[in-house]
Amino acid sequence: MKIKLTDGTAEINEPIAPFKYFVASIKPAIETPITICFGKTSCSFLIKDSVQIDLDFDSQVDCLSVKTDKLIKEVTIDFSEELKWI
Amino acid sequence: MYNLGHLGLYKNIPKKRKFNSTPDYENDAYTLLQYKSHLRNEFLIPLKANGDGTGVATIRLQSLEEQSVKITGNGKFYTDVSGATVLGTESTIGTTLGSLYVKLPAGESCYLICGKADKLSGLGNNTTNVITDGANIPYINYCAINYPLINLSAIRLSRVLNSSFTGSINNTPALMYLNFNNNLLSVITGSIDSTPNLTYIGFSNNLLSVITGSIDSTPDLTGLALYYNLISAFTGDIGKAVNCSYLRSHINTKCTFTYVTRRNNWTDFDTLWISCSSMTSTMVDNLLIDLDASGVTPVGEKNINLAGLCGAVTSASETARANLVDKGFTVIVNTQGE
Repeated sequence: MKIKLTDGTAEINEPIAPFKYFVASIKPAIETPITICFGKTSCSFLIKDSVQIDLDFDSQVDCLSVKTDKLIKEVTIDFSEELKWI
Repeated sequence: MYNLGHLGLYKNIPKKRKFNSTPDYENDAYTLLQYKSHLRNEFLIPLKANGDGTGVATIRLQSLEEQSVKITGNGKFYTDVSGATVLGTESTIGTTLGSLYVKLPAGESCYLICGKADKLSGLGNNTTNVITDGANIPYINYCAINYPLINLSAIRLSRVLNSSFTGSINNTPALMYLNFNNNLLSVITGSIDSTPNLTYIGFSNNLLSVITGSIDSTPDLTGLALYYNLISAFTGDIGKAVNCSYLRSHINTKCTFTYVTRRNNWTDFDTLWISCSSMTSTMVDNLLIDLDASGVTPVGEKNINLAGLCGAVTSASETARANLVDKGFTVIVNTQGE
């Protein structure tokens, strides 16, 4: 899922199926904090170019929002349902 | 009076049988053998052949003192994993983790008999599995821990899909390391309240084991991994788990962790991922604030996930959350739509 940001933010109102983890990447690639909210679950982390985040999200969410540095123009989020072993 | 016995009238009445405590490994049921073994201070490990039986299993055991290990039936010990040279039906294990190389003909079963159950200290150790999977090699077939193994300190069967154990950790009071992560067949029960020396508990991707108890009973705990285990029910105060740097328990609605004992001496932390309705908003806020105030250093997964069933954060922890992210943690929480 490619998300264009305006002033470092975006809101997507579409359902997202359950997933185990996601990989987020940004353009341009600069180190910055980013917060991605899936419904009311907030996920904050530092990102430089690409980061994998385990979430084990077991139910559908209806909206997604992104908040990060104004310099970031685009975020790509790829979801995976693959179970990870430890 | 007639002596009826002399007339042979009682000849069909069965005589009272005396219990024979000598194990008959070929014919006695495993449950009976376990009882007999207990009386003889022996510990049995049932093995079953796999495939064509040409492979050699490496079984790693440790003891507080040297002890003999025998193998029954047509099982044989070998000198090494190549299986080229037969050692016989008796071997020994010592005070360091030792390897027994075992081969078993196709379709057959046998037992390893450890001669001093009370001295057995390791079924594997904290880095090495007791057995590994492999083509055509024997596997451990529901080895039961059904009587006290008073000095057993480690069981490791992680990512092993063929072999299995059953029984209760209430029989292993000296246990320090317990790892059944990604083992789908084992059925382990009991309470960690019976194992005060535990440093690691792993039952992730293990659907059949049911472990209970409070982490307050295990002050040395450094790690607890419990995801995709839906039926275990741990409780306790995270604030008292002062040595723990990995605590992952989610997709499980039965655990009731709390954060009551506040502290500001958190150090290196890998993963704090819990989902419990017992974690109120105030507890979540306080935990994040205390982690930040401690100057905690992120290591490994660098993951703080207090979402799921936990209470939502408030603005009280906003600065702490930002600081933790700046330090390198991924911080996942429930919000109130802030």
